[in-house]
Amino acid sequence: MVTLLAGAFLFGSAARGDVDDASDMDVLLVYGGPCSASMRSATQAGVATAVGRPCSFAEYSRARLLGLFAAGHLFAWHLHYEARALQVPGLDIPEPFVLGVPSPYTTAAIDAENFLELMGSVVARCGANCVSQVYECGLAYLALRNVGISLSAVVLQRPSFTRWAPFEVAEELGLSPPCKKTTYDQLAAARHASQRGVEPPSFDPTSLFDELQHAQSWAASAIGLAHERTTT
Amino acid sequence: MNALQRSRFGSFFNRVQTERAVLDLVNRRFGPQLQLPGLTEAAITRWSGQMVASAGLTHTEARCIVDLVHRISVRADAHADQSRVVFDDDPSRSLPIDDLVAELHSRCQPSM
Repeated sequence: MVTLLAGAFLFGSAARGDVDDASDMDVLLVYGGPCSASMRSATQAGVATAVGRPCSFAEYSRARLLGLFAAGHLFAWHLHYEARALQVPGLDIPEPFVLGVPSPYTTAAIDAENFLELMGSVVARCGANCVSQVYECGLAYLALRNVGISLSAVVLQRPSFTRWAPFEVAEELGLSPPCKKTTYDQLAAARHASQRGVEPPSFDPTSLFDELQHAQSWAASAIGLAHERTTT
Repeated sequence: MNALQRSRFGSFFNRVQTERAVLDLVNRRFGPQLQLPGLTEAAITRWSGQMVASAGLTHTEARCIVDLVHRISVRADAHADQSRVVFDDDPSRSLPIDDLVAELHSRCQPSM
């Protein structure tokens, strides 16, 4: 197949070896130049066939990805620690992209604050009887998880990219968990419904709102404690 | 915050705001039992099967709304992808989403 593909990498739970029934395969595709939509679709189809499971694709140009590595972006660190090159029969990659070592990650506090702001907007909308509750709960999962991942880079030995990062950070900081694990599972299920089209979970709106408010407070506390650690 | 971070988070939040606007339009019209949970292809496909079957619209009316939601999703993807990969033959990326959202708003009004 003719392609501008410069690299295909497995990352996420599949690369860590902790795949479960809820996992799909996170695949990074790196393109060496401008790529048509039809070429992109053909490349995705070829990779998905080779992998043999539903894939979630992250697609970047070589230049854009190099920019993330140069900026020390957390996604670059995620790839650095966990990505594995994917061999795809039939896809010829003449100049394979090499994942190098990113610049230092220096924006944990900013990233965590941004996701806290997102969490705040979710709480505000759920408190105002938003009609898109499943979507908002999925965003809550995304926000909470990314607060945890961002802070893990400063409070743990190395960043944690698992879905349980906020719980690991809570334990390390001596905080109570951000929410019940069953609630976290429900939020994750909402995110999967929103992204993968699977059956959405059902929620008890009252207890859910209480948990979301608690998770928002937890995130603010965790950010404050992590900040203290880095400045003392 | 540097330019890259501003750009990345700015585009992410813009995408969230677009998705919220579209989902609220649809979900206000069809209610919690036919809730559209997201704007991905997979989420729209699952929802559209239920909506076409049980929303009480004619097949043509229902398909028209599904088609609009799908087109908005494709355009939102194209806009979001501009910062990552340049797609040189995608005509949708130059077209405004606002016109489609306005049409969806009109289609999602309850009939008198």
